[in-house]
Amino acid sequence: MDDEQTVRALLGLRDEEGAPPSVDLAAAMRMGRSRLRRRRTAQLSAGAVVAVAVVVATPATVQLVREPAHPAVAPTTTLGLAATSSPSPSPSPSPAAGPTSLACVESRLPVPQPNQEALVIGADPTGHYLVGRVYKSGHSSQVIIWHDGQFKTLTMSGSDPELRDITPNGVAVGTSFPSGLNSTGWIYQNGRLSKLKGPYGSQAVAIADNLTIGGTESKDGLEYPIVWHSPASTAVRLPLPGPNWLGSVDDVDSDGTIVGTVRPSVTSDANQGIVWHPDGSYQLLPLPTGVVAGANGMEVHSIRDGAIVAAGTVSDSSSKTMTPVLYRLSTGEFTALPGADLFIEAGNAQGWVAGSGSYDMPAVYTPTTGIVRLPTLVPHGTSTPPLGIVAGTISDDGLTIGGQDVDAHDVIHAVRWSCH
Amino acid sequence: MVRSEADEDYVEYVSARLPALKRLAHLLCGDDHRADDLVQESVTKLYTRWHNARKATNLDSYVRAIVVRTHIDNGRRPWSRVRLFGHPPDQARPESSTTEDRAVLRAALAALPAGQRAVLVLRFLCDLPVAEVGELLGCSPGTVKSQTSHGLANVRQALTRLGYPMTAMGSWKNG
Repeated sequence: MDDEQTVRALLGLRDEEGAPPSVDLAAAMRMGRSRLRRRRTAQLSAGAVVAVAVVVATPATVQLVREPAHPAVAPTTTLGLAATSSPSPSPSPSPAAGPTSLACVESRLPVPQPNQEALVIGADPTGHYLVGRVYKSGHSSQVIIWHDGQFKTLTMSGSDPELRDITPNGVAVGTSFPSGLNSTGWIYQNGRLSKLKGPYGSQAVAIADNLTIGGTESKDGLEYPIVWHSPASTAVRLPLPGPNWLGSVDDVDSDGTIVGTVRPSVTSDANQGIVWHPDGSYQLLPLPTGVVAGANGMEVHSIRDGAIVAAGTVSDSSSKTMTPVLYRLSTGEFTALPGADLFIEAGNAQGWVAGSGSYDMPAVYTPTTGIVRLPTLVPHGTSTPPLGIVAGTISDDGLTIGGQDVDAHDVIHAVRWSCH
Repeated sequence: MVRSEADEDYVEYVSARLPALKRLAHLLCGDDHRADDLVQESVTKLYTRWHNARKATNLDSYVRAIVVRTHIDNGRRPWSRVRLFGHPPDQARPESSTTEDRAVLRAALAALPAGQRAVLVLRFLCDLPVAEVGELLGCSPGTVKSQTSHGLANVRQALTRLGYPMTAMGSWKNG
C-alpha cells in the first residue's frame, strides 16, 4: 500500500455525513460574552442574564425562545458617568458596616495611540496596578501594565498575549500562544518578560505576593491545575482527589493559597471548589447547599484574605443557574450574598462582587447596597449593550474596578471605575 | 431584548455554515458528540472575535482555522465543560457495505496525532491546497508536506494493523 492508495482509502470518508449539527448559538453567544469579560471559569448560563436562546438543532431550523426578563437592577441610574444606588435591606455577610450608597465614575485608561483598543484583564489587590492587552493593527497585540495612570506596553511573542494578574509590587503573569497551537506562561519581573518553565499548553492565571503562581495545563483537550512554586521553577501539577479528576486554577491568595474548580471526570458536570494550601495539602470545598437551595455544584472565582467568592450552581438537563456565595476558610462556612443577581467576574473579602447584572450591564454588588449599575461610555438603558463591556476586577477596598467598555464607534477601551 | 446588528450578522453567518463546520469537526474528531462540542466551542470563539472577524476578507477560512486550532490545541479553555442544550436523538445511519471500512478508516485517523490528522483531513478530505493548510495550522508548507507524509505512513500502518481491505484500489491523482 503506497501513499496514493492510502489517500484513496481516506477518500472513503469524504462524503461521510454525521448527524445534523446540534449547536446552541445562544449558549455560544453567552459564553463568548463571558470570555470577552475575561471570566476565569467557563459558564453556561445564569439567572441574571436576559437571554434569547437560539437553538440550531438542524441546518434549516432556527428556533427562538424568549425567556422572561429579570427586573431592572440599580434603583436609580444617572445617565452619564455616575450611578448611585439606594441602600437595600439585605443583611451584610459580616458585622462590619458597609456603604449605604456607592457612586462610581468611569474613566478611560491611557493607551499609546488615540483610540487604540485595549482591555483590562487583571489587577493587583490594591487597584493601583491594572494589566491587560492593547491591540495594534490587524489582530496582533501587546500586553500593557497601568500604574496609577501611567502605562507600559510590552511585546510578548506568540498570538493572543495577555497579562492576567499582578502583585502589589508589580510582578505580573500572563499567557500567550507562541506556536499558534500551544500556550505558555509568562512572568514580568525586574523590568523584563520571560517565559515560565512548564509543559506545552500551560497558562499562568494568578500570582501571589510571595510569587507563587497558579495556572492551568491543557493536555489532550483536558485541563489540569498547575503551580509554579517560584518564577524560576518548573510548573508541576497540583494534586487532585482521584486519577480521573480534572480542573483549573481560578485565583491565588496573597499568601500563596490557590483556589480552583475541579470535577471528577471529563463526563461530569459536578464542579466543586478546591483549595491547595501553601503546605502542599488540599481540601475539597463542600457544596453551598445551606445558602443555595438545591446546589449541586460550585465554581470558584477568586480568593482574597481567605475569603472565596464562588458561584453555587443548580444544574439540570436543560439549564444552570449560578448564585454568588462567599466562603471563609477560617470558619469553613458559607455566607449568602442576598440580591447578588449578577454574573461574577471578581470578588473581594467583603463579599463585594464585580460582574454583569441585568441587561448584561457592568455592575458591582455590595452586601449593603445591593447591585449598583456602573456607568458606561454610551448610555444603553435597557437595550442590550454591545459586546465587550466588562467590569472584571475589583480591589480589596472595592473602590477600584477595572474593565473594558465600548464607545459609540464600537471601539473597545480599557476603563477604570472609581467609586466612593 | 434587543439584539445588536453584529449579533444578527453572527447568527445569520454561523447558521448558514453549521453543516460545513460540523462536517469538518466530525472528520477531525471522528465522533459525533465531540464534533458538536468542537463546533460549539469554535463558534463561541468566533463570537468573541466577531467584532474584527466579520470584517475579514476570507471569513470562511478564518473560521475553519478556529475549528482546526481548537481541535489541535488541546482545549485552551475549559470548553469540555460546556454541555449542549437538548441534544437531538442520534440519527440512525443506514447500513451499507462500507460501514465497516469507514469505521476502520475513522479509527486509523483517530490514532494519529492531532496535527497529522488535521493535515490529512484538510488536505485530502477538505481539498485545501498545501499553502492554505499551512496558514490554517500556523506552519510552513514544508511542515504540511512532512506532516502529510508522516500522517499517511501512520494511517497506512494503522489500516494494515486493522485489517483494512486493500483490494480493488485504483491509483490516485494528485490535484
